[in-house]
Amino acid sequence: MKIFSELVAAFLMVLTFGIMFQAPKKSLLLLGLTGIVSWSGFFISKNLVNNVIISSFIASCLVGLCGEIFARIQRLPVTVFVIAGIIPLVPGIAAYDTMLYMIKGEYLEGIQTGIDTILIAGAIALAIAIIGAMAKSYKEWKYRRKAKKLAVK
Amino acid sequence: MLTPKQILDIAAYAGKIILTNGAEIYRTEDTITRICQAYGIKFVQSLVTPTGIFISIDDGAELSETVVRRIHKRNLNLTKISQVNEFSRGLETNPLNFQTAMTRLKEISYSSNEYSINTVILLSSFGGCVNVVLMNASYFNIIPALLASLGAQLVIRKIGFLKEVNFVPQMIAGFIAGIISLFFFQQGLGDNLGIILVSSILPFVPGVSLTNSIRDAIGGDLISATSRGMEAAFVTISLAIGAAISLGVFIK
Repeated sequence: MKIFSELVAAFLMVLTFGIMFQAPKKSLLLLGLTGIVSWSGFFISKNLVNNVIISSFIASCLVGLCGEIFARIQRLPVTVFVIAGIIPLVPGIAAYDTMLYMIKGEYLEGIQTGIDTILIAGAIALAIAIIGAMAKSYKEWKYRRKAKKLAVK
Repeated sequence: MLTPKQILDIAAYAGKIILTNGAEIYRTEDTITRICQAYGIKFVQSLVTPTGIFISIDDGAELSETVVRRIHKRNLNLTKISQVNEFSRGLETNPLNFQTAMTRLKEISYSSNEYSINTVILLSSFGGCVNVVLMNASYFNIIPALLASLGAQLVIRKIGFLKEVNFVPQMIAGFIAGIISLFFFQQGLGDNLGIILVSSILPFVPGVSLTNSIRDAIGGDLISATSRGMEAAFVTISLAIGAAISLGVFIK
């Protein structure tokens, strides 16, 4: 039951942020789907390994994959899906805790949670980069294969 | 047949539209090259940075032309990016003449946004406060998060307070969201101040700069990658500072 309400929330959240970034109307449904896929990945991996950094990484990989696939289906830029898709994974609470510790003067805890925040953000960035690079090399591979076929003919 | 000057005008205009609306560097360069090649120009060099576009074309013989476009204002509209994307792909099969191409680009450039500002503010506040559900907090926190987010966005987006300045609006947004959520928290509405505050400033998170910076970095556009990465970092820090000021002043 809890996972169901969370999935609905992820759907709504990614969809509304897509609207905030003025995404095309035809992409909205698939945007919501990106949110559902990435959050279910986050939920499952968090229950399996109980590590927010790894789960964020897996969920962002799913966002990137969904973005690449949906962008090809609808002939839209990949960023339409990725920009809104990573919003639910943003390490807000970790950043908040960092800030709060810093205000209170507890710098050691502040640095601890700060490193957590940076690691989560880095995991998201790394995932997007890996999927982007993979999509790029796939495109080149397809292009080369096409060129080879033409050369054989 | 178009003159090289006209081809450059079309390419520079298309590039300017998508760059000002938040496209990545490689997409802008791709679009420019594609448009020039659609009109039969063989040698195209384009250098795009977040603040300017430089294009130079060469037909292999004596002729070469260069154009520079400076980018001052940047906003965000993914619809326009996809429209220009479609436009440039359409040119490959069907090269339009100068007048039609420029009219089409002007239509895209001056078309009003897909969603009005009120819709955007309302829906993105709602989308931010739904974060409460994802963070496993009690559902009571949704109401103060929604109100705080609405307050911050109304001041920054609707009234357009300090719109021309970088980073200061985010700081003020963090401050306003902090004050409103602290007020409701102290009145007993909502039980987790952190989640309320984070959910309410979520619409200001620099998702675009972050994503574009990463995608530029893997594309090899290092200038844009570092500058956009710095922008994302500074925006985040300004939000945190704004929130920290409000909490630091009123929490004791």
